Amino acid sequence: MMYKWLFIVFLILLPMGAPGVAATADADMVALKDRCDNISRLRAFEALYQRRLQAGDIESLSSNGVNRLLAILSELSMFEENTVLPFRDSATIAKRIEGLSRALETSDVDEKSQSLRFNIAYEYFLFYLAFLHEKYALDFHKEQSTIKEIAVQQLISPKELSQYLLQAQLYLQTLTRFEEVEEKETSPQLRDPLADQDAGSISYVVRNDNKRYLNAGFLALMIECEKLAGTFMLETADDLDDAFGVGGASEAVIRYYDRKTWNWLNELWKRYHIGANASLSMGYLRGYRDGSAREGYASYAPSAKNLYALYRTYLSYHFLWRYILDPDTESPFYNSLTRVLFERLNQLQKDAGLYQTVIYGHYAVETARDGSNTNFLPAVFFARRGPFMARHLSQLIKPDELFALYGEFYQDGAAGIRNNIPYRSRIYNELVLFGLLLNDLHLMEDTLYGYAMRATRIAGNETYVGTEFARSSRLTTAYLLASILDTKNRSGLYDGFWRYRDMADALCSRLIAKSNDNWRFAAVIHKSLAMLYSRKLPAFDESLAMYHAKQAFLTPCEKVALTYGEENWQQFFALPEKELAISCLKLFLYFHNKYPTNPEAVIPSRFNAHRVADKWIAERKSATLSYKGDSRP
Amino acid sequence: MHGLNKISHSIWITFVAIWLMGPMAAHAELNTVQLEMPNASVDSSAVDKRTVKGVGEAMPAWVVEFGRLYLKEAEGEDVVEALLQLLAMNLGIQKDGNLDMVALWDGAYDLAGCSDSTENISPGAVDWLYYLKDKFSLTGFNYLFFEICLRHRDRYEMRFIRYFENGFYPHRAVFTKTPHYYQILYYYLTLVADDLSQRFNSAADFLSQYPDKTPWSVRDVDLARFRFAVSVAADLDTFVSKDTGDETALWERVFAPAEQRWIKNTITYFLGVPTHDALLSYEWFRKNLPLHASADAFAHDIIQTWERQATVYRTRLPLMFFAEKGETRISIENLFNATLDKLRLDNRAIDIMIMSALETWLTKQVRHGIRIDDRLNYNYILAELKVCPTGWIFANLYDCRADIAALKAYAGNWRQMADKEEVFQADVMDRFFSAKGKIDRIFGDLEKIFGKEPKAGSVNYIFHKYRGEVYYYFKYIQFETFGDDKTVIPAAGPEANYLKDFEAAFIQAPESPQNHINLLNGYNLLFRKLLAGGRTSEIRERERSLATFVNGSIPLGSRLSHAENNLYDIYRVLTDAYLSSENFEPRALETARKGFELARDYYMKAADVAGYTDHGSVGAIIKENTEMDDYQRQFELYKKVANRLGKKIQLLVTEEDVQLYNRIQGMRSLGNLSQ
Repeated sequence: MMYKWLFIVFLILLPMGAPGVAATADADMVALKDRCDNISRLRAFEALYQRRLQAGDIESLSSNGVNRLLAILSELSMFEENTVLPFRDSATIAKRIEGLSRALETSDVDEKSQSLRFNIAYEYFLFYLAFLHEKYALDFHKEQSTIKEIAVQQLISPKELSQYLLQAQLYLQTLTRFEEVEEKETSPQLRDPLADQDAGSISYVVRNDNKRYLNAGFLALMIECEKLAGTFMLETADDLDDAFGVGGASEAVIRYYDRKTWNWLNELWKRYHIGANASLSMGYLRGYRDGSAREGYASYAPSAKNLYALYRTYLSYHFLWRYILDPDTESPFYNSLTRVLFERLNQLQKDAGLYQTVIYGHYAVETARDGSNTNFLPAVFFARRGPFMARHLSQLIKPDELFALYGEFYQDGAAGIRNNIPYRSRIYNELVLFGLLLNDLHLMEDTLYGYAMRATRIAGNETYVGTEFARSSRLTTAYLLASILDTKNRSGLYDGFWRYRDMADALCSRLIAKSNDNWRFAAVIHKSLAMLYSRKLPAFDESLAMYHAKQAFLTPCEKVALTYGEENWQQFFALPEKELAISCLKLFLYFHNKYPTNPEAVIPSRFNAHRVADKWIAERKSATLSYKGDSRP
Repeated sequence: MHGLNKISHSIWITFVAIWLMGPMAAHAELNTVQLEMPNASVDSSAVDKRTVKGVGEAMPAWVVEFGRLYLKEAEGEDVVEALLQLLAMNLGIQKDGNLDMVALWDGAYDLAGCSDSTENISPGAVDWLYYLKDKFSLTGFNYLFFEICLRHRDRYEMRFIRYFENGFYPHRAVFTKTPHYYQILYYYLTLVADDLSQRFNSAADFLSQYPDKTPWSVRDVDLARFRFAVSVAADLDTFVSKDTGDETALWERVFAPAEQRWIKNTITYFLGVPTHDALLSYEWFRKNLPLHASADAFAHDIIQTWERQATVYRTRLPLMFFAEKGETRISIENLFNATLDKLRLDNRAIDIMIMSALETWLTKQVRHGIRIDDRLNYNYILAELKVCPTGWIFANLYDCRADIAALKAYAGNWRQMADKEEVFQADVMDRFFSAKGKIDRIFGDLEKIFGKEPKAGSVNYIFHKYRGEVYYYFKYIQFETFGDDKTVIPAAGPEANYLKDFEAAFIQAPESPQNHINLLNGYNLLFRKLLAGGRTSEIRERERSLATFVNGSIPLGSRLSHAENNLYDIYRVLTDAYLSSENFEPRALETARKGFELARDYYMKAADVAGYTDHGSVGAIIKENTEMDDYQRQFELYKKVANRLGKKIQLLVTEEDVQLYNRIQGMRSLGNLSQ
């Protein structure tokens, strides 16, 4: 790391050498720092949410977003405690480190001491995670008014954190090492079949639980990824590097360990499959079905649950480094790895009986959306946590901060799509839907509208008819427009609403369909426009108001005619959204009564609208009459 | 131009060189770091002189002479005086027992040479070498001096004690801590311990009968010697309790079993907390015993406890006192409380020592605690420790915490409490008196330190905060229970004494949110009480003092979020109060206006954050938020008061405010966009 910095300084100091090179290196560094910061903030929000949840400050909200799929996808948390990394109980971790170190001291150099070493490294890594987690939560509280009194920010220093990480690495160093030769050999056939038999692929039981195995390469991968993510936060640079001979994060090392881990997971997958069909594999594997190794037999067949946790953890770290290093080139290896990874996760989740199997299935399909390229997935994967955080943390974190983070993930994701450009529109749609959850008028008008327009342009002439927002740019834009106009109408910040009129007219006619309820957005848009135009404003224009009021009223009428047939106009009063339909009717009747002679305000006869209106008027009259005639005792 | 090129060229080379040298420089640094610091002591420094002197040189004459005499003495001749003279001359021991350092160093130099040249003297020729072989060092020869004195204690006891107390022990840093050293300490204790304990015991007996008189048995020199003995015992105890992990500890090989028993008992007597507790319970001892005697004992006790834990429960992590081994379990809390207990002895010297020990300990906890909650907790305590001038004050302040927390908990759900009066009589009163006793003690001590009228800022706000809270919570509960009845407990002091403390705390630390909350709570309670008593004119007085805080440079409430800010309630109480009296009716409009403006300010901020402002105009926020509720409520109150006084709200507030109110109303009636 130190040399790298020196090198950069050196480059910058080049008086007239090659300013272009220096600028590029600098820009790369800035981009790297940005991505590291993004990951940090993502995890900080995650830590904050977990801590609030633990304290009971957050009641579990039902996911009431417009898109059930997105809501489900957002449930998936990247960096939380799981059975592979149980880092929350720091007291237990400390106790275990204590006991293991003692045991290591008295043990000889043999398999047992290797296992102890590995376990110590593992516990130190957990310790690192525990304090990283707490640090993030504290960093947030530092900003809060009520605990400002004390200097909380010094409670966990970066130095302390890097100590834990380096400790883990030091203990692990004797068990696995990075070999550059491995990386150069590209063809698997040429590789020595015994290459994977070195210490790096040995698995160890962790926490004395013979159902939980972890691989040295896997742990090394996680440590390297943490070093990468903490490049700018931790003080691993400079003297510490030299003292321990550990060095900063390096891409080659990460790729090496990533491959090692994948090989190991592959092996486990095979064993899992054979273990699951034990009757077919007589004698090959004698592990118990519950995943524990039987006495005297070395083979370990993981249970679906354990294997799922391992794959899931791998996914987090794999995407972490792929996002931060942001490889430009497509790698066929990683593309197929990603595909297989999601397929297996999907399968394992089903096998383990965990709910919501839709998540990984969706991603598995998505891996093929951009040709074979999967480089856009990490960013998209992180971005999709946004809606969840918007629902749960909007009281704590300002909307613009939330949007700054997850919006950037969405943008990175969209930029990562190289082959199938129209697919970007889907990412933009999700971005817009996420932004709408924040309910910020400025954001909607200044930022989201632009993205919605871009998505509409890229998507071209789409044929999708349905209710899934993210799939349809038209629908998303309509929803956004309805939100903007409704918000403008209700909050009283009318300024500039007329800008949206053309877009509204173009969209609304295409929203009414037989099979879905999208008409309500058209109704809201027209209704809001009608109300806005009728206000005493610079843009006051009652004829336009009348026009939109009529359109608003006709929208539910047309829907009824399409779905139930013209003769069933009575259904107008039985629509699922009948309050909205009736309020549109009332609005229209207001203009009808105000200007009875204006041709715009005449009750139209299309879609049996006049019958609806007549019935309504008659009912009101009789209601009023019956009330008047009522003689109360 | 050419020269410039040359310079830039050389800079180039330098850069390249630096870059290339990076690794080498780093390694060189690494090596120096790994070198161990040499142990500084006389004997090892003498090793350096060896080269100057040359190996195999003859032994100094006085050593040879000493050896000869020593052998004679062992054979029964009375050459003791000559022996002691010889040693005194060459080891720098003066007549009054002081140490001549120059002579001492010379002696050390001579002896260092000896230990080397012993090889060259044939053992047959010089028999005394057998006796002195392992004693060719300063400590060894000093041991010989003391040993000879002790053997002839009937004659040389005073000489022993004189040298030990004036020369040897005060300069103990010079002597290496070999077993001989500890044997010297042991000899000293055998000489003085029995006498001392007898004298002190009879003095204690005497004092328990006549507490006001001066005991005859303890002289001044005994008091000083007691302090000495404590220190020596502590020193010896470090040797005794050193656990090297061997089967028999070193001290067990040095001392015979009977000696071991005696040493243990003696150490327990001099270092035991019970001894010091007992002695300090007599007024006379407290006045006359050197403060350092007890401080040394306690310091030793603490250090021993910590070291024992650090060695037995050695930790890899930089954590203190985290251990669980077999059945012994050490909890951080217990250790903390045990240390804290020592502060309750009212001794200034112990105080300073334990305060600094606690500070170190707490800092360690804050930096290296395992659980983050511990770190937060100890960080709070540390912050309080730092502002306490004495440990006695800190101990009392720390004890207050539990009482205040209990009172606070009662106050929190007092309104839901079923049998208020019973609980009040049984629990709340106890808690209050317990807390009051402690806080009064604290302020008594503070008064002793800073005087009756302390300078502004000398007494930290934390003390005022604590005292204010003690009284406030008690009076809050009392008011909620009995209303404005005259069942005031006299001990609770004047009506609004808590307010004075809260004000003092606020003035000193207006940045602390807790001070805002406290002061607002205090005013709220006072106004409610005055309103219940119908004392409107007093309310007016108090409102003026409140206004000075609200309009201050850091306005009261400005550090709080709108949910925490109690000013609304206060203005509402004030408005109600003024409305009930004809003279003050116009004031009601004023306070209603203040409440409304406060709500409006908070609403503006909220709208700005949520993105509902547009070119200076503010819209209604389209989601549930409490700022909007507050705005609506305060507006309605303002309107109500205005109507009551026959005024139109439209003339009192700006047009935008009315529109905003209407919009909020309208927004609610428009219903939701179905999602």
